[in-house]
Amino acid sequence: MAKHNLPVWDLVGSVIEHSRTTLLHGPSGTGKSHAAHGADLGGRALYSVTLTPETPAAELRGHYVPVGSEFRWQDGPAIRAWREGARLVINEVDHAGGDALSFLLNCLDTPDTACLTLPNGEMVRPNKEFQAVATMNGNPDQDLPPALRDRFPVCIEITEAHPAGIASLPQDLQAAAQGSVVATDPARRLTLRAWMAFAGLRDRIGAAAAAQAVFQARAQDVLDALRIATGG
Amino acid sequence: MTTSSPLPEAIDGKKWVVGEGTGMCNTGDREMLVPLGGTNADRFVRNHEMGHARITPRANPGIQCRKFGISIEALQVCEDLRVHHYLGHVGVDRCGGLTNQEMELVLSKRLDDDRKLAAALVASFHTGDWDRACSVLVEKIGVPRLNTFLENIRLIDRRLRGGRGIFRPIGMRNCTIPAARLFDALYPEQTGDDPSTTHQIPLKDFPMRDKPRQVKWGTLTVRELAMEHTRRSPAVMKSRSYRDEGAILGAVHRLPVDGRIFTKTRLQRGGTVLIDGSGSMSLSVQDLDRIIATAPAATIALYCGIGKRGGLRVIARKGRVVNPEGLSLARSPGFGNVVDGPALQWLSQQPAPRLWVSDGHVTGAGDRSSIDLAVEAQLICRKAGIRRIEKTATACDMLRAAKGR
Repeated sequence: MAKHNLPVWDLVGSVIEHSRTTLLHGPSGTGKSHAAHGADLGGRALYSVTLTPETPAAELRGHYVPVGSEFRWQDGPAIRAWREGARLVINEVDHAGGDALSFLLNCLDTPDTACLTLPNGEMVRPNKEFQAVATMNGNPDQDLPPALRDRFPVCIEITEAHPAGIASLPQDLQAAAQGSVVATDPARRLTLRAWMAFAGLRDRIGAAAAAQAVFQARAQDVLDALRIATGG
Repeated sequence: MTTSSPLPEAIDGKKWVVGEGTGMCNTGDREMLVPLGGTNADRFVRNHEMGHARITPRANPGIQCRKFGISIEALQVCEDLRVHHYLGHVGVDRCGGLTNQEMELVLSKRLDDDRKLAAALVASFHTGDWDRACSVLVEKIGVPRLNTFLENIRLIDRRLRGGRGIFRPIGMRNCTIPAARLFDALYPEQTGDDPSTTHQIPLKDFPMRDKPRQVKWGTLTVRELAMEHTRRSPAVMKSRSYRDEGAILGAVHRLPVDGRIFTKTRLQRGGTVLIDGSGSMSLSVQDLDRIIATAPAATIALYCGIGKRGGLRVIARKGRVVNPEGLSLARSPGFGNVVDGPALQWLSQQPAPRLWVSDGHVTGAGDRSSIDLAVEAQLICRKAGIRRIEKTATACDMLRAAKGR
């Protein structure tokens, strides 16, 4: 995949608001979901779902719910986002099972062809303001079915930790977090969440205990690295 | 996150390639190979390489060596020493990476090579390996030889510590490079010279301050004295050789002896003698005359200086030598050294063999001494094959011996 010329988070920030479907992929704990939720919504509502292999299409589309002595139709987050022209954030899109996958193929189709007849007989089409932002950890070309991959012509690999997440850390941890979140070897990767947990604990129980709790076998290496990196 | 692993990304926030190895850090390509075990020795090696990642500049070491005229081995061990100072500064454990048995094995292979032994010692200084190395060497080489090593290594260490910015990348230029030059001067690479006849500058005699002052050489003016101040050399500067073929029938009397009846006249190999004319040498006119008489075909020059300037005067060349008036003129530039380095550079461009008559107390501008200047002078001598002679009498003996050959 070609390298982006713009810094990756600048690209994400400028693309998400205007793109109908966007896929963000990269190591976990880099701030993909944070960006999907936080990037400029342009006045839209926000709906967010996290997929598992068992997530049914009904959870996204909607279903009948008992209200008193009758069943009433209730839209799921995807159909609500369609109707309202909202942003639908789909976390872990690569985990979608067959049921949810088929629904997503329709839901994320181009505006001209996307339409769905609900079980209550109603025909719905997406509002032109509707947009979807999906996130995943793996490689979309390998891990997504070709048809679903095709629904995301805008696909951005996240190669850096989110600047806002890095900025929220104490100064002495920022470089360490910046590099380790996207470390080449997955076994050596330390997520932004781990660094945030370490920063929070460190102030209360001390660096050694916090490192032991968060980084376990690598605690000593992390403490040594911080000493060496910051000059003691 | 189940095994130990260094975190070089903490240094610069960039991606690094980390693998398992014995210990290597390529700061240019951001690559690190280190042991990934959980022992203290493994941890020390990881932190050592992390130290390199932090303070060793991202420059090609081969290019640095060529630029500053030092060996790669000297650069490596002195940079290792700087890293150990840094680890101590930031409070990281420096237990060392070798066991007693491993240290014995490493040193046993180097006992016959002073340079390699010194390199191992410098690289282990200020770590737990140092004590292990010393205890092995006390048995293997004895206390007197070990003390010589210790004295030299402390000298290198003091020079390293004296530079500015020791804990920053610029420290390589200010601390590591001067220390590496000193290492190369104390423990030269094999050049084929007979060590017993190589006369080194007594580097240990130079005062070492905690913050070595920056002293530069004075400006040298080279001048060949005018002919009115010169006279013919009193000694013969040509020699004859006898051959059994040729054009000049000059030794018919040898016909029944060896048949070499033809003669060929040739100029004697002159070489060049550079004389330190500073006050500390206490040279008399008789001393100079003796040198001139012993080496009539040599180019002989005298240098001295004062303040920021010095002069080099050629007092004999191609069989002509200065008269006493010219000799006093040659000593006029001053009573200090000031320009030993530039004068040696001049000598290195003159015909061999090259002798330097000097007590070895080199100084720069303001007649101030500095171990860096002494090291530079030593390296010029070694590169150009210059032999330092302390006394004029010894110089005369050597010149006589050379003429005999």
